[in-house]
Formats: sequence, C-alpha cells, structure tokens
Amino acid sequence: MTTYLQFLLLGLGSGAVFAALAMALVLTYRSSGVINFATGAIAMFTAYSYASLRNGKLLVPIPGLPSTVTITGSMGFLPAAAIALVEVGILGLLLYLVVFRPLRNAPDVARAVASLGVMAVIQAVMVDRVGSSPLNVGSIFPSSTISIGSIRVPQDRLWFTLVIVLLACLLASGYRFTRFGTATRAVAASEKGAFVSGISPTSIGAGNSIVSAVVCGIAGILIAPIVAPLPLTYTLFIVPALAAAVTARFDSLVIAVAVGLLIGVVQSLVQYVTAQHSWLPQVGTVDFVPLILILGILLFRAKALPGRGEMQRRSLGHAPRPRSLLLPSVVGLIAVGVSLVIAHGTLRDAIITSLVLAIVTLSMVVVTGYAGQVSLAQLTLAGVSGFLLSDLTTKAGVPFPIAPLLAALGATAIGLVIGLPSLRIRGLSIAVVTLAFAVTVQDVWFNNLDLNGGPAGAHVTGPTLFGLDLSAGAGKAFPRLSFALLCLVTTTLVALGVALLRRSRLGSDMLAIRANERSAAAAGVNVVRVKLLAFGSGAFIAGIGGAMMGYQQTVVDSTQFNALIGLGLFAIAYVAGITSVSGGLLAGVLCSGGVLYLGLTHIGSLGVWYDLITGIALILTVILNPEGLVRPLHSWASSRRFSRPVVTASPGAATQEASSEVGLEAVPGRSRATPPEGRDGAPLLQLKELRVSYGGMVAVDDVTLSVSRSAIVGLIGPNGAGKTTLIDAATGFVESTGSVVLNGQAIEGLRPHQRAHAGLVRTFQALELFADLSVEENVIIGAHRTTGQGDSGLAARDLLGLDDIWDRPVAELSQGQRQLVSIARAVAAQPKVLLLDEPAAGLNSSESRWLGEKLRVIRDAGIAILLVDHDVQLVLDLCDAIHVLDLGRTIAEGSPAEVRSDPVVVAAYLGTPPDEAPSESLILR
Amino acid sequence: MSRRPTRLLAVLAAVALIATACSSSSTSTSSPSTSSVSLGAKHEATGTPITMGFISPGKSATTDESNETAAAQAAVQYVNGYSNGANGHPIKLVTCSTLETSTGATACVNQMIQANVAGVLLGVEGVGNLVEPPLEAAGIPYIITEAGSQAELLGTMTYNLTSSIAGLAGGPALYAQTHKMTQVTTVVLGLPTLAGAYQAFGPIPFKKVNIGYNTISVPVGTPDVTPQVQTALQGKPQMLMIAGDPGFCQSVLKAQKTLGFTGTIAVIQQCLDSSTASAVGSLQGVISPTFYNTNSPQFKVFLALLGKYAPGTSSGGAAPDGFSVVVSFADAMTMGNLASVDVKGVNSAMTAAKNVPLALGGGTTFSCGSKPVPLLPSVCSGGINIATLDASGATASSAIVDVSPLYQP
Repeated sequence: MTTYLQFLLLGLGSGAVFAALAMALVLTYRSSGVINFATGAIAMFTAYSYASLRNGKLLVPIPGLPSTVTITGSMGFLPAAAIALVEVGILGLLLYLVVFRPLRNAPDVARAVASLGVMAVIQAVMVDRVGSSPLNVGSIFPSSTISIGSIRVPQDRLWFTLVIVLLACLLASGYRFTRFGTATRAVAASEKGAFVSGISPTSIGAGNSIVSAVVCGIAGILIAPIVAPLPLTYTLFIVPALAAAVTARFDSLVIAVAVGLLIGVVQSLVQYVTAQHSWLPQVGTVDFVPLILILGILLFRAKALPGRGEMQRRSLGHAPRPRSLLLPSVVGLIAVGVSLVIAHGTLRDAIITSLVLAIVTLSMVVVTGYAGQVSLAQLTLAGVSGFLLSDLTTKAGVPFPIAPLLAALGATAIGLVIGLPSLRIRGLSIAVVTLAFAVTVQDVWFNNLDLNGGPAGAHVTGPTLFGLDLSAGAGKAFPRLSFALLCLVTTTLVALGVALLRRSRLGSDMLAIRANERSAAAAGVNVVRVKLLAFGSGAFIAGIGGAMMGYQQTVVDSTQFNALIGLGLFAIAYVAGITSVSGGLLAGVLCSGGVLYLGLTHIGSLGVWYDLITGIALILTVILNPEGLVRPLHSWASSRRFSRPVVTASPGAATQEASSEVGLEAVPGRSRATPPEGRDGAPLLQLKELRVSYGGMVAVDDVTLSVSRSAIVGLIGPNGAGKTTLIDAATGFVESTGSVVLNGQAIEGLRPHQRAHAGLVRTFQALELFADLSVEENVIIGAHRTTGQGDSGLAARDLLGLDDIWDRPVAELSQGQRQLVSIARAVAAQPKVLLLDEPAAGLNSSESRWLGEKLRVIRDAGIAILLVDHDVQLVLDLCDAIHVLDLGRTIAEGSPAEVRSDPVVVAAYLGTPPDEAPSESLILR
Repeated sequence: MSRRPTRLLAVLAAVALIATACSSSSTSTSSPSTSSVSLGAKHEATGTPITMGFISPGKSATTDESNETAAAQAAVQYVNGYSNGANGHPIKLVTCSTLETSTGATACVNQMIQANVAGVLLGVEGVGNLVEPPLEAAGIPYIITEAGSQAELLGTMTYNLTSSIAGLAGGPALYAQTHKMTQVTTVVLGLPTLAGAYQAFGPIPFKKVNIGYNTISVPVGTPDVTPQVQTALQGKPQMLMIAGDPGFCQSVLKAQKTLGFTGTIAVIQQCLDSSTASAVGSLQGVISPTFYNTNSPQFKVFLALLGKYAPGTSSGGAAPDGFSVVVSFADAMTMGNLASVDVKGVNSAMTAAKNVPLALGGGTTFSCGSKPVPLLPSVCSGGINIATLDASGATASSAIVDVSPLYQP
C-alpha cells in the first residue's frame, strides 16, 4: 500500500509539468482559439533564458550573434526570473502581432500548423544557441526530501504542484472577475460585437498573448530544476498536456491542472504496475494513460452529429475535381522516369524519397483534404505497415507483391481503430486524439525491443517479381534503377487512385461531410460509413507508403516513423496543398530527404538552419497563402475553364417551363403521369404526439399532424414556436418521443440518412449546402442515393432552372440561388415527403410566387410537402391545410380560410388579417 | 496594457547595450596552453593520402556531438604532422553528420561511397544500425570506438576498437563480483540502440558471475524520472548503473539521492560533463567504466591539441572518441603495415595489427585479428578502465580489467 502511495506522490513531479503546460494551452485557446503546439518550446526558451541569467548571462536568441552576453556575475532567483518573464512576454506579443493576429480568420488547422512552424523556429534557434547540453539550474524550492514512514517524497515536487494549483486558481478568478477577463470572453465570442462595445480586439488579443506566454514561461522556469532543459524534451510533453487541456474542453483552467496532475500520478502508478508484471510491455504503457483519458472524455461527452448551434468554421479550401487524368500521368511518368535514369546515387535516392513520401502525403489528402478529418497519425500508420512488412518478408517469407498489400491491410485495421473516435469527435480534437495514438503506437510497438525486431533490427527482404530483382540494393549499387521505377509506378498508381476517388461518389460524400455533416446526413450520406472508409483508405495508402519506405531502407526503424516527424510531414502537406492530388505530390518534393532538401544541402551545410528556414517558410505560407502552394495553379486552371460570363438564373425566364408538360415529367421518379389525387388521399406522413424536451424545457409538446399525398401542409407560428425542432424530430436530428409513420411504416428508430433513404427528405433553414462543391455536385449528392435513376439530379435542375449556374461553386451564389439549390438537392433525392424549412427566405415576392408554382408542380406529382415559412401570403395561397404552433403546442389547424380568421391565431401571430395589411408580406422576425 | 511592452523593450535594449559594451562571448573550454605540453617531434606523413570517412551524429535537436568531429579533425592534424600518418600516408578526412535520423544515415553512406573512401571511422553513433549494413554491403571497413547496435557488434567488416558494451557491462560485473554484490540494476535512456545494447548484452556477464541483473529503460520525453528510479530501487540493488546523455544522468543522479539510495553508482563516461558535479553535489565514490583515462599523459596531449587546432571545443562528451578513433586507426595502420590506400589495404592492416594501444586508453590494447569476445565478433579488445571519481567528477584512481573471461561460452 505504501508503495502505491510512494509512486502516487512521485507522479506529482511529471503531473505538475503537464498541468503547467496544459494551463498555458487552455489560456491560449480561450483567448485566440489556437491550439498552440509551440507551448512546450516557449516554456523551454524561458527556462534557458532564466538558467543563463542565473549565471549572469543574457541569452541572445539570434543566430549568428554570440550565444550569450555576460551581464553580471550571478543573479538571484527573482531578478533572473523577472527578466526571463519579460523576455517571454515580448515573445508572446511578437508572436501575436506577426503570426496569430494575421491568421485570426483562418481555419483552425491553419493556425495549428502555424504554431508548428513557431515550434520549429524556436527549437531550431535554441539548438543553435545552446546545443543539446543541459543547462544546470539551481533548485528554486527547497529540495530536501520529506520522509513519512518509509515514503520519501522530494519537497520541491510538492511545492511545484502547489504553486501551479494556486496559479490556476488565481488566473481562473482573474479571468472571471476582472473586466479584462470579461472582455476576453467577449472577443472570443464575437469580434465584431466587441468592436461595437468599444473593446479593441487587438489590445485584448495582445494582452492575452502576453499572459499566455508569461504563464508558459513560469511553467518553464519552475520545471527547469526538475527536468534538465533540452530543446526536444519539452516538445514531447505536449501530448499529455494536450490530453489534460482537451479534457478541460480548453475552457477550465482548474480542470486542466487537475487532470494534468492526475495523468502524471496515474502514469507513475502504471509504471510501477508494469514493472511488477513482466508480461506487460515494459515501455510505452504509460502513453495509454493520456490516450484513454482523451478518448473516454470525448466519447462520453460528444454527440453523433454537430448540433444546430455549433459553429461551422471555414473549411480547408477548394478541392478541385481532376478533369483529365491521362495527360498528367503520362507526362509525369516520362519526366520522372527519365530523371531517374539519368540520376545516380544521392540524387536518385532523393527522387525516390520524394516519390515514397508523396504516397504518405497523398493519404493525408484523402483523410484530411477530402474527408476533413485532421489525422496526425498517417506516418505512424506507414510505420505499422513497415514493421508488419518486415515480419511478413523475413519470418513468414511472403512474396512481393502480396507482402506489402497484406502489410497495408494491417495498417488499415489500425487506421480504422484510430478513426473510430472521429464518429463522435470533430475538428482539432481529432488531431489531438490521432497524435496521442501516434505517440502510443510508437512507444508500445516501434520502440519496443520485443516487437520491433529487437537489437537485430527489422529487416525487409527485397521485392522480386517473376524472378526480376526489384530491390533497392545496397552499397555502390544503391539505389537500383529497377527499384526506382517500381516506386515511380506505385506512386503514379496511388495518385491516380486518389484522383479517381475524388471523382467518385465516395469522394463527393467525403467532401460533403467535410463541408457540412448535418446536411450530408440529411441528404442521405451515411456519415459513419464514409468516415470509416476515409480513415480506412487513408490508412491503406499510408501503408503502401510505409512498405515502400521499408523496401527503400531495407531496414525498418522507429526513427523513420517518429510522431514528431509525422507532425512535420503534415505541416508540409498542408503548406503544399492538402486538398488535392497535386498538393500531395508537391509535398513529397518539399519534404525532408526529398529533392528540394537535397538541393538546399548543396547550397551549404544545413543542420539546424534547415529547421529554422522551413519553420519560417511554414509560418509565411500559412499566413500568405492558407490554401496551399498549389492554389495558384488551380485558380489558373479553373479560370481558363470558366472564361465565359456567368448568367444568373432568373426565375422569370423559367416560368414558361413550369406550366408545361415538361414540368410533370421532369419530376423525378414519376415518369408515369400520376393524376393528382384528391386532397384527402391517405396520409403519407403521420406525426403522432411528437414531443421534444431539453431538460426541463419542452420544445415540441405532443404535436400531431399528418400530410397526405399530393398535399401541401403549411406550418406556421411565432419565433421559437418549435417549427424547426419539429422537423428535426421528424427527420431524426433530435431525440423525441411519439411516433413518426412514413407511408405506413414506423421510422422513429431510423437514423437521419436512413429516413432520407425511406423518402423523408428535408431542407434546412440555414441551407447547409456544401460550400466547396458546385451546384451540380450538391444536387447529385441527393440524387445518387436512389437506385438507378442518376438523372433525377438533372430533372431537379431543369425544374428549378439551375442550368446557368450548374457548374459554379455554391460559395459564389446569391442567397436566392442557394435557396433553389437547396430545394433541388432535396427534390433530387426522390422524396415521398418533402419537409421545407423556410424555402422562401431571401426571395422577393415575385420569386416567392414563382417558387410557389414549382411547389405546386411537385405536389401534383404525388409528393407530400410540409412547408414552414414566415411569408404568410405564400403560405395562405399555397397550402391545402395549415397547422399553427405556439410554444411547442398546436393552437389551430384547418384550411387557410379557417386559420386566417381564427381569433386565437390572429391574437398569437397574425395581428390584423393580411388582406387589410400593406401588400408586402408580413415578415416576422 | 499596450504601453508596457514598449517600456520594457527600452529597458532590455539598455541592458543589452551595457552588457555588450563590457563583455565578451563565452563558451566553456578547458584547454591548457599548448606550450606546457609537448606534442613530440614533428614527423610528417608524406606518402599518398588515404581518404577516410568520419561519420558522427553532429548537432541536432536530439543530440549535440559536434565536438566529436572537431576532435577528430584535430587528431588528423596531429597524426599527419607528428606521427607519420597511417604508415606514412597522410589521412584525408571526409566528414558527415547523420543528425541521428535515418535520412541522414542514408545520405552519409551515399556520400562515403561516392567519395570512394578506404574506410569509415566513427566514435559514437546512435544510428549505427542504419549506417553499418549498407557500408558493409559496399565492402567498406567500419572502424568504431563505441558501437552499440547489434548490426555493428556482429558485422563482418566492423572493427570495434574498445570492448564496447562488453566492457561497459562486464567491467561493473567484475566490480560487483569483487564486492560480493547480489543485484545490479541499470537505468538507461530509452534510445533504441543504447537501451537495446544494455537489454541484449547486459545480462550476459552478470549471469556468468551469478549476480542478479535488471534493466529499466526510461522513455525519451519523461519529465520526472523519479518513478522509474524508484522502480529500479524496488529490486534492492547494491549497484545502480546509469547510461544516457548528461541531462538524463543528472536527473537520475538527483532522483537516486532523493530516494535515499546508499549503494554504489556506476556511470558511463558520456554521462558526465562539466556541470554534472555541481548539479548533484558530489560525485565522490562514483565509479565509471570508461575506455579513456583522463589522468593519462596522453589525455593532456589531447587537451593541448584541442586547444591548438580546435580552440573552444569542449573535451567532454564524445570528443575523446573522435580523437581516439583517428589516432588508434593510424597506429593500427602503422603496426599492421598498411600496404595500399584502399579498402583491401585497410582490412588486411586492421586484421594484422596486434596489441595496438588504444589512444587515450590508459593502457588497453586491441587486436582485431583475434576475437577476445566470441559472442561479439567485431569487438577487438577485452579491456576497460574502472575509474573511481572524486567529488568534482575527476578520476581519482583507475584500474584496467579484462572482461573477456566473462564472455567465453
């Protein structure tokens, strides 16, 4: 028992380190929304500055100048700490002004990548200044040991823990009770609102950046006597610190600190337990602690789909649809093939490295670029494949090409496991989870002498095909041309595969999910299936890359697949353009060991300068060109395609079609002209006693309504009446009780995309279109859900007059045009029942009337429509029956004439009867 | 809030100005003036040059062994100017840094092959497991002072001039046997090659002398090593062996002191640098299995050479390895009568040379034709110094032991 207690108390040392860094992470995120990967590096910089100052020397952080400058003999703790904190405060201000403020509107991923650049720069500068010799620092707290019985605990760890906890409480109350703290929360919530309230976001942002940096610095100074400061080690603390910050939702300082301490303590206990049981892996089990913590917390607290209020941040950038594949492939094959033949030795090896790493970066294009899931574990998955390949070829004698395919499948299995959290977690939290996975796999497997081939190393038998030796060779023959060509062919096939994926339905589905998960689900995309496919295919591709890396080096080693190198590779991929095949290939050219790197080494011996330059280049690229280096290329290509002027769709011109026969036949799926049935046909949709409550508040209170075939039912009511919530409940976006029956079949148990398949299709108030995709792609997403009839999308296009804007990206359209696209998408899905949420929003009265006629055509073809809108004139003219909600409850229902004159309705909503009001429709907001 | 940074900037600028006006840059060095130590008579090598590669970790985020290359280059100057080179042939050194990455390893190997070197010299190299195999495949001799990976220890064209891990584990095993200990535990930094060496080869000599042995590997990136040290002490060892870089060793030394360990401590030479003693208080009574004797007259020559040819270079860390491999190699070529300045010549001379004194070794010798440690065919020597340190970490006394009996089957 006492031993457990001993280990528990010993764990406070590491725990306090994680807690301190977690605190800094939370502060930075709360004020600027940035997950700052450079937190450890900033702490390390302060630690070194402080240590130098204690010896009377000022650290000069500019390469080229002398590394230190002697000021005085030696300095006490307070003056040294004060000066060091001033320095880091300046650093924080500088980072804010130069890096993070210009990026304040950039996507989260961009800002995280910029922080990686900052981390690289600080690390490179520090390595140049102080090398990797530890700077010894005298202890700050009393360092004697306290003995309680047989338990010995170093006093300074306890003091450190106490100081960190106090600091957290101080900061937490400071932010809660001061005006600065309130202003911070205001700016974080809404910059424009802050302006209007007289708060200057720049001052607040700068102030917070300084505070964050100073907290980092305090952490660094206090950590320094416990952990000898080395440039690299502080960076590795980021994972447990992130785990603590994630658990605290990047919001609560006190929770972040508490969890950080907990991680340190649990890791210490795990360390003890694994030593007791030799069958457990002796190394790496401690990494499971932050991983399991992150997973547990996120999975328990997350929901399956993003909620209504969740902000959709700007996406990753345009993912252009590759038009021609043959010409670029042939040209590429010939060009690179010839250069491989001409080149020898180091140059040929560099080209091979570029080709092979391009495969790994292409896997990032699939998972992150297309599906929007930020995965930092792709290089690790390549490593999994590499190590599996070693076992397969040396121990099991599996031949090429079966061995690399099997190895890649093994990586796929792990990739699916890594991808599972993405079903419930979104955004950068996925990045944190995948990073934690990467570090864990690396420590438990790649660095584990029992599993990684041991001291003999993990060798890979060279590939041979039909007796032809395709191996990389060794010694003077390295690298052999046949192997080089094998790499070229493999990379070309992978690039083609990824391009074909982009053009396929799966690719569109991935982009839909990336753009907007909610509407993708409503359009019938099986979000779970697509996400898993994304992770799976990404892992398979990374696995192929890892196998090729193994063949290239003939030995698989953990240094190749380090999690931090993976971070760097991701950053390069992002800079090159992570949303396209050309970006993925360019990343291969740029990465360390590739062609560009080789070129740079010829200019001069690089060493730390390479890291410094790439760090700065990374930051600059993110700031100046957030969509990647290949963007100019894509813009040029698409401008050539769209050189004809764009004519906006005019509803007036299409009016003629609406009344013609074309309209009837154009309605998807009803090729036989179905005579409009009587308005009292059998109900197609029946909602019975539908109830939605959030905690104590009831949003929809036992509402019963039905919509018959070929009928339009209107649903109106004041704001907050529960109209959209009712639609959410009927389509499965929110939990409810009561029954939903579609065409005689109860569908309450089905998930949203399944209800869409069954024929219950909706639109959204906020439209929720896929902003990166064209009108065509948006509409087709709905269309191909149905079996066979792929031209239902075209029919929807014709019905709603979208011809002229069919190819345009949706982001460029007006509100009215987008409204039509949203309806077209829903119609293309061949619904039985259509739930339209404010389809006339953004349309003027003549456009509204035009829309009304379209809806009549749709109705007459046999589809039941439930229409929610605030355009009362439209509703009264169009609908066969009207249902009125107020405060979640039905207050009236009946024909338009009945509802219009119902005194209850008039009182609650309409005010004066609409005929007496000015001709403009009453828009109640 | 926005005025504060400006004011502070001014203060800092003023401080910097004053400081620059009355100071000079500082780096640590401990080199006595060259005039007090004699380098011996000049004996210039005048034959055809022999091109040798020198591969080293260099300076990166994970490691800084840049002084190793500087020491090697100083040694080349010395050997070419004062010691008749390699059997009369001046050595031409081609250097490369791996930065301890696999990319760097491949790049260095390619460079050596393209430079057509007659052999490659190394002191300490963390990615030796990636460097040795392709060099061996190219037929290039691999001459190293301290190899750690299995690839290097079992290589057929590898010449380990020291007893390497055999001595680093065997020396303390003999010491433990003499002092009648029953349990020894190693706490090693979790670098795969280093930890792997201790885990794979550490147990062998201890088993031979019937002493319990255990290795605790501490992952890189562990902030507080005290729990791991506590785990090591759970087994109640009488001796704690520590292996890693100076930062790691300092942490472990502090931790064992906190936890009240009273037994013997053994540290490898790379553990120690100028700040270790002041960091942990006193190193009195700590033993160190080391290949180099810092009290030997030749070590003073080494320091003088550093001061002359590479002023400002620290003499700690792997610098002695860089120096030793060059000088020992030159001596081996001379004693083995190097006939041709190519791969074949180097191989035969290395095999022929007998009882070559290891430079800075304080008396140990190597004979690469024999195999003193049968289990590790590339190891050419069975000797190692066991130094006892004084409070400041300097060698108080030292004795050479022969570990080869512990490795006989």
